[in-house]
Amino acid sequence: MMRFYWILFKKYMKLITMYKANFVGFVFQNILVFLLFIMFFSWAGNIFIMSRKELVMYYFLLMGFFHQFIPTVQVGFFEFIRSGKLDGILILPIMWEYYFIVIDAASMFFSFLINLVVFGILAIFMKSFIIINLSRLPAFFVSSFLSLILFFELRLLFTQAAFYIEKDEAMAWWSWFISRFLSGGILPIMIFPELLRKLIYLTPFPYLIDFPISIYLGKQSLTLPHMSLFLFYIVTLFFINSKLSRQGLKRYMAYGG
Amino acid sequence: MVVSVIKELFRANLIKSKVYLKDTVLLVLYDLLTFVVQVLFFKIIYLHVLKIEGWNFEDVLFLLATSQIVETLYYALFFGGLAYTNDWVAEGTLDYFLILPQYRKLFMIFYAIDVKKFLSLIFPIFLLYRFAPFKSVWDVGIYVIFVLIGLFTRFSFGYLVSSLVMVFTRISAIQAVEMELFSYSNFPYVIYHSVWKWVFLFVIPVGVIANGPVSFFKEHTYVILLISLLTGVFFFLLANMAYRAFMKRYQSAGG
Repeated sequence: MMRFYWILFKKYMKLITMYKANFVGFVFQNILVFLLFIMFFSWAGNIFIMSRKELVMYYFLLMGFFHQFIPTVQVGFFEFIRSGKLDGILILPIMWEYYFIVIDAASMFFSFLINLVVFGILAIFMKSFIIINLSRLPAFFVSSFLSLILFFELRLLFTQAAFYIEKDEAMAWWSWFISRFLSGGILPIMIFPELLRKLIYLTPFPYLIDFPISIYLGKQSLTLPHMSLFLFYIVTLFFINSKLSRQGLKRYMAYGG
Repeated sequence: MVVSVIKELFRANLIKSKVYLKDTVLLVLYDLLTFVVQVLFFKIIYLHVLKIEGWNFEDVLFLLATSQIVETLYYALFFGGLAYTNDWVAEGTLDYFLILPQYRKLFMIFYAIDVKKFLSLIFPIFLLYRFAPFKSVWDVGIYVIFVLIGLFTRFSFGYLVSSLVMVFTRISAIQAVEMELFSYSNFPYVIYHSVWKWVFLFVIPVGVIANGPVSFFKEHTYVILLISLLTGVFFFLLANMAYRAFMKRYQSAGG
């Protein structure tokens, strides 16, 4: 079965390379937005516990890599359900959830490779803003890996709404914006007022972006309470998703013939 | 005739919004949420400072309200039609518009009016009511005219991007870049320096559409407004040329 997923991953990667304009647009967008933020924070200066340099580094990591960790509804899945195309996947000897996860993973991996090159070049020109924190790297990689798992769990959770609601538009916008704001995709959560920051850190979202980047910047550590909550969300979402998937498929059968 | 057709399109979209009532309510609430988050964004930045280079929190909220009004009007009136051009070209449904005796472009642009977006105007208007430095009714009138100039610039740029359909056929990725960039039109124009001033004021007019009216009331200067108008006219003419060129290509491709 793993071989099937691997072939799917490779085939999808190949397919993505055909949509060159899309990816050029995506990278171009990230660079321009990153430049806008640099200019904005050069104007705004230091904010609370973050210096200008740390803010720029935060947006560098965000726009270059973590921007992809914002979970939203996979709009294509709604089309699969409404048109009955899901049948084609259900008859395969695989889990339908992993089918979509592999497709997402291929797309993310391709974007990661492109951003690695583009933002790597950008880093050369912005040497004075780049913070290199080697001692923080192991904790950063561990938290980033867990963020990736959490991302897929949340994406699956939002996407499964397709079994229960008719239209995807509102759900897509809501899931995207809430995830983006609460994860630190707009503004670092670490500069929020304390009470608000603590409340947001009770939700799973800041563990997607704010937590790993703040570990890298030395603003937080991989402490036991944080790790426990992080793992709790991953495990809980796994069980919720499994239940929703079983129930959702029953509803889907009720639609079909 | 034009008015009556636009009225009918308006009515049709209103019916659609009523049919998908839950979706409509969620989308209006989404606009409220984005607006609140943007206010929060600036509130957090201004928690520890009173003024940044002459801009205080009230000035920034005035700018935010203006940018939201321009963007909301753009999405309500024009964006749907400009975004659909993609599909019309790919599917060949553009033919339905081409057989119209006149006002083709006008119908295409207004075809997907989004009525529910007008409800979202309530939030920035409320902010204007609280923070706009208007001293008389005349000020309000002047402000409305200046906002319309900003809207014209925004539309012209969106129209130009949509005209690129002749080169790429599928331009949703470019439109996504455009949408994302203009969501930052609430940043004060003073942040742009050196070459970026040219990029974000003239090439991609993110820094002028909302800053035009605000800079007039804040600093009594017409410069940004003038740039907005000139870039608007330039992009509009360019988009029209691109559209005409596109028509030639489309006919050669069709049957």
